[in-house]
Amino acid sequence: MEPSPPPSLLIETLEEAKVSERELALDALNRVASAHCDRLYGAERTSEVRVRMAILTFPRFSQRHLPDEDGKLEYVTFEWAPHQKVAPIFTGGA
Amino acid sequence: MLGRVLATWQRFTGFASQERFLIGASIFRIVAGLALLYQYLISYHQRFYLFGPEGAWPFERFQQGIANSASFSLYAVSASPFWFDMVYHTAIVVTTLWLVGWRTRLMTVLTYVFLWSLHERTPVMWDGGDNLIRLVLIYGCFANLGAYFSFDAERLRAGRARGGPLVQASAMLHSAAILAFALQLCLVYGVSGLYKVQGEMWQNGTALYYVMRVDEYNWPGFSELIYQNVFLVTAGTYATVAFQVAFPFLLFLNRYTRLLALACGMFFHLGIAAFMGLITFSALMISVELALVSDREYRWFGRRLSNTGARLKGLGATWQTRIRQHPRLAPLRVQVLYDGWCPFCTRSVARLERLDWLGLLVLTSFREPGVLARSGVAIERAEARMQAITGGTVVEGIHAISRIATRVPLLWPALPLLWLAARLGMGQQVYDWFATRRTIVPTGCDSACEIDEGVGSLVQRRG
Repeated sequence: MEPSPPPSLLIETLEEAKVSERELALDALNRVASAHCDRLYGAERTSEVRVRMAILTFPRFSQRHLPDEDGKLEYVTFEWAPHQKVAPIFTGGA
Repeated sequence: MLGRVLATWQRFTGFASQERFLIGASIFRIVAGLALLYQYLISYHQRFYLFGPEGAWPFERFQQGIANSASFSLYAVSASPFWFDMVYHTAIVVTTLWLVGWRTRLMTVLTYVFLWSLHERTPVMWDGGDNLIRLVLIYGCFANLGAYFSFDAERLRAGRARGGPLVQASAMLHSAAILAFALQLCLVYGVSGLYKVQGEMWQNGTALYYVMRVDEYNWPGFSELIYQNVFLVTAGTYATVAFQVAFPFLLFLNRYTRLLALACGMFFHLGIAAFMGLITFSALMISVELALVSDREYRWFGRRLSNTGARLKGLGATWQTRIRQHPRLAPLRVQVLYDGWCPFCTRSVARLERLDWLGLLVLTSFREPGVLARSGVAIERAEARMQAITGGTVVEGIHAISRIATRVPLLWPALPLLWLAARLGMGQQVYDWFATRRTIVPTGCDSACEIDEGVGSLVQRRG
């Protein structure tokens, strides 16, 4: 039976995986943003994109009759990133 | 001792190789096939963005992920748009062939390969139905999914009729696959129910509110009616947990509890499809549930459905007769004079007769002897335009069509357009354009029939 890796190595591996996953998610978000900018302003007219994520915590059950606007709205703003070439959102062909 | 073991084994193989759940398996193929085809087609104009080589999910990371997990995807073979399009379109063709049951076993395997490839290409965009269908399609490769409603049905039936050890083995594999469908469904419901039991919102009965209020899973105008009602939210939350935890027990207790569990499951997923918009997830869950209804139950249900249909038809005919004979409808009757020598007019009149539920149209060919004399309409007018007579007033052309439309409920939606066309004067012109170009085939007379050259292109036939 192989000895189990030391906890520090396990933590390091997990941390690396976390960073890698975060990079991948950010890359995908920036690609989505690039495609949307191309759609809004035309292809190759954007040099950088910046994503802002909105998180709405709508009213709790005890305040269910209140509209969404009365909930808590928070934003997470990411860094500027270079525009990437992404396929158009809607297309009939290549 | 050996004899008893052999006898038990024979009893077991005899039991396991009985044909069962063949209709359900075929219905699973159709419903799941439609759901997958819907998924491919609804993404069609976004396919390059969602799955293409330059799609939103980075291609390099996709290839890297495939390599790291020792998985596969046909989309990873090349980054060329041509290759991507070829794989995507082949997937649509293969799924369609699977849906219609052409070479079903092979198509089940291919459908699985193409679906897996698509799921691997963009692993973050699915709805949960993907996990289920990927597992169930593996079991489906061993099941007989083409026994009914398929191009293979006749061939497979003939094969089963021939019998033999291969057919017996195939039937056993089919039964095992259906059992795997059932166990998979039990796992889905059971695990989901047990996780919910541990959740605070499911314990205090408010979870349904938080599920239904999320914008992405919302049916505007309807979800509010449920999530703002305390009773519905609480009852719905607890009923969901109770149903999911009870499902595995109900499914295997007896046939009545099995049917109850399946009916509840379908109802539950129809609700999810409507209120959360998870169409493919719900359709795929329902497709697996449909596979677990036995052939005998489907046949019983089919008989009930056809009996109910016949009863409703009879009831409808009785009501129709009563309505048609009602004295208040008599003044609304319209006599329609049409050209019995015009094949197009005769076909249109036959259609109208079928739509005349209220029996308000008296359709008469003015070519019949004495009809024009009785109605007092000149032959030139009748030949030029259709005539509609009500209570002594005669209207023609587009006005006759409008009058007919008022008597035929199915044509009521067209009334505003007909009215507008008549008021603008265009209606009569369009009507005349068609009327003068109609073909007339005189019948019931010989070559001496008199034909008005001005009416249109005439084809004379010896009677």
